[in-house]
Amino acid sequence: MSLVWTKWTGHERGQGTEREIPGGRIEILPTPQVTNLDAGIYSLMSGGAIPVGSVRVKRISTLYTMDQLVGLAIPTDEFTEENNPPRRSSAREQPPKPSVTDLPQPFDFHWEIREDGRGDDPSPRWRFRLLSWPWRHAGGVEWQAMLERVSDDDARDGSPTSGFDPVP
Amino acid sequence: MGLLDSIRKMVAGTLWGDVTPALPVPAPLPLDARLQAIAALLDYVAKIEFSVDNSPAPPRRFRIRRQNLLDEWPDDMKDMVFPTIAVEPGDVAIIARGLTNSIDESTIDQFGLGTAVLPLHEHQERIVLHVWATTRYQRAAIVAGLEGAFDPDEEMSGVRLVLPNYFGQVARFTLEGNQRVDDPDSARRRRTARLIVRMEVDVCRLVNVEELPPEGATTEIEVVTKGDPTPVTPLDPPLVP
Repeated sequence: MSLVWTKWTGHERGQGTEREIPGGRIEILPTPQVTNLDAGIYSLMSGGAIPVGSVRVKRISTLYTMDQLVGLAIPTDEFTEENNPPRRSSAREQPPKPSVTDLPQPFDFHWEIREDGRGDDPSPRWRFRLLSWPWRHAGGVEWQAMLERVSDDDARDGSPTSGFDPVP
Repeated sequence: MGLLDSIRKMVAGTLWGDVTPALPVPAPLPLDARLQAIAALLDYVAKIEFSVDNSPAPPRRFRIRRQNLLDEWPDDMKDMVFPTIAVEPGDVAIIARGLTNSIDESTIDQFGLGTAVLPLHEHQERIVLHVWATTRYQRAAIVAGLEGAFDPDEEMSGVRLVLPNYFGQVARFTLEGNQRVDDPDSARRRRTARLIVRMEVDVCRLVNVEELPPEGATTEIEVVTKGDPTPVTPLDPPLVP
């Protein structure tokens, strides 16, 4: 499971080309527990089947901060290099946040869930958004959060998928 | 016993294609006029070049793959790939061709010896092009491209497409409106738009025909004028050479 920051080449999200920023992929370690994965369904639409639904993620290390989990703390290459997996000091060494209210344009953020490699290799990359804000679970030292599937998933090799046929 | 023999006593009137000697009835086409017309429209849409904002670089030009242009809801094994356009059905009006049909004489022997195309009625329908895109720039690009593509020729508004697999009929498509649909799914990168298109196509079938050769026929016309009861017959020279 990873937190993924991307940036569009235009002035706002959706404008131009979306690219992962340097250091913009932080794998959440130790691997959290995903439950209610059976809540994911294929919703039939006029254009085809879309995976929709939500999952609950448990046992997210508290070495991550709330701002990281909601995407406000945009990592730098150096930060990710030194804090992935997170250290005890990681929370104090967060890079400066451009905003504490919302993610500035043209940055984008999502969660990604992949199988751990015991099955298909490479495994599908599923894109999620936060359905609920993360909360510290009272019964344990952990974050919990609800995630919801969004469109569209990257290809298994990480390249963007699209039905485009580029015109030469 | 052929089809016509089996229904001749059931149907009042003279059957189309009931020729002497009897010939096999031409088989109906596997796809109706509606689906043939929509397939032609989607083939046309697959050729359209769209242009999406790619700031700061120049706009990126693209086409939508034909496999993602759907004439109706697909089966459950088709995963949505963005962008996709799916055709949804609308209200249908059947417009009769006057009191009786008549064959299109220009099609005699064109689609089979001893046959001609019989236009039955006009199929009018307001179909919906359901556009599926991820970002609002992608959706805007597709709507803009489609709007421009529905007026390609100088002669008339709308686009007219020849149906090579449907007796060379011409289907007409006129863009009548569009609607960008915004709901919570838009924020989940599933942005849609609906373009309303008026589709008109003649429904036809192939029938056997028998030409009556004019050789040897004589034409007799009686012209009786008041005060001159003497009929003039026949014409000299005859009307039919």
